Amino acid sequence: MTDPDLSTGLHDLMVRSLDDLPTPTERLRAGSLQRGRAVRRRRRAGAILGGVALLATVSVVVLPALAGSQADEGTVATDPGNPQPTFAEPPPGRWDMPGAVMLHRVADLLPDGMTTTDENLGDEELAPGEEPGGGWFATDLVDEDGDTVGGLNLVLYPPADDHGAFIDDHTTCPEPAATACTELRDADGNTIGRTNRFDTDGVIVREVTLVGPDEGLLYIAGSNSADDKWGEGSTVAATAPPLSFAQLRTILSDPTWLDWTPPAG
Amino acid sequence: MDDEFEEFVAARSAQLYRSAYLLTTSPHAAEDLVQSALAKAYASWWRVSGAGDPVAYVHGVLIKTFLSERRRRSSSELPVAEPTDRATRDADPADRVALLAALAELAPVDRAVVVLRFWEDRSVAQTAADLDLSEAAVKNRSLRALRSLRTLLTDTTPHPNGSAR
Repeated sequence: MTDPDLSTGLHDLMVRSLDDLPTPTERLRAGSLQRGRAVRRRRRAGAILGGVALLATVSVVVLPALAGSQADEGTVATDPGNPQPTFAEPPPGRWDMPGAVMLHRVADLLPDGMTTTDENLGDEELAPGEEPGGGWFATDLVDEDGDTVGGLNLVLYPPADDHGAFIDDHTTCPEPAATACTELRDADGNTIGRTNRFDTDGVIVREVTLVGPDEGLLYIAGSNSADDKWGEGSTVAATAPPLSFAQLRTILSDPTWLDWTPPAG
Repeated sequence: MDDEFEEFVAARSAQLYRSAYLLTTSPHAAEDLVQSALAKAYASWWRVSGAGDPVAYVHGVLIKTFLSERRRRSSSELPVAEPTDRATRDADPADRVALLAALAELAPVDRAVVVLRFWEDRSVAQTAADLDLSEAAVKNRSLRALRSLRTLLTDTTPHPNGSAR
């Protein structure tokens, strides 16, 4: 049961604390418009390409059917309607791989001499009776001299029920690019992920995102900071992140991240 | 559409920013989070404006974005060239500093529970639905978080001589 005095006091403290907080409205407006417009442009381009591909598919499938007078009267097109926000929990899958298992596996993929320390598997987030969710870890990296030289973070995202918005947001680069961002494409030109580099006052972050075959995203990032969060105000442990983009991509591309099934029951 | 979106931002950004500030405990990260949530709202504005409660919808996007991104250590805030309205106050009030420091000690999900329950005044059932948790888990986390905050806020209450207990 919640302590009514404490919860009321907390609300009052929040109100008091934030009452005169200035809101950076103009930056929020400008930044969200820039990011939002970029997403819309990419979606529009994707829809056009998708429409062309669909048209080609329909031509191939429908024309022979019509020629043979074998139209399927039982098939009715459905209107997806106006989708409402769906925040459903994703089904169990490889994205629930326990952090301890992930950490064990990444140890085999790190360069020779590099090890992990001060690992965070999210256990401290659990409420009594809760099971760990899995699907991520954060760890610091130690070189062969025993020095902490930065951090590593790997996340396995489940497929999102949002019409591709999450994938789009994490695999394409802003226009114009505000960071050193490169979209990764397959042989057919389809976007399969991106690399991104941030440099905030010497805190360098290298990120690689890839789309899994089940459309769940795989994300890895390395930094020359070993702080819990990387960005403004973080401390640096080395002049550059210990892992290159190529090394990060090699780790993330390993099939080990696709090879885990939740226990039955 | 842009006019409608900009009106929404003008009317709602303060409340979104406050929620984000409590969730992230940092002005930098709060800005990143609100930008990210608003960008998603802009990109699907037809869906937002068609929702029964657009404000609740965008707050839901904010919470989901926070939870989705909390496992990432890096920030992706988009820099904007002219910071025209950077905070002009001299310093954070002591209450705010103490509150944010205490919130930062909580696990992110516990922080989200606290913000939804005690800042946005959502019910246990609404909070459970928003966070994909059971109602029992929400109650457990609320209780645990409040106990932690009580201890932390007591420990950091400044004394007249400037030292902390």
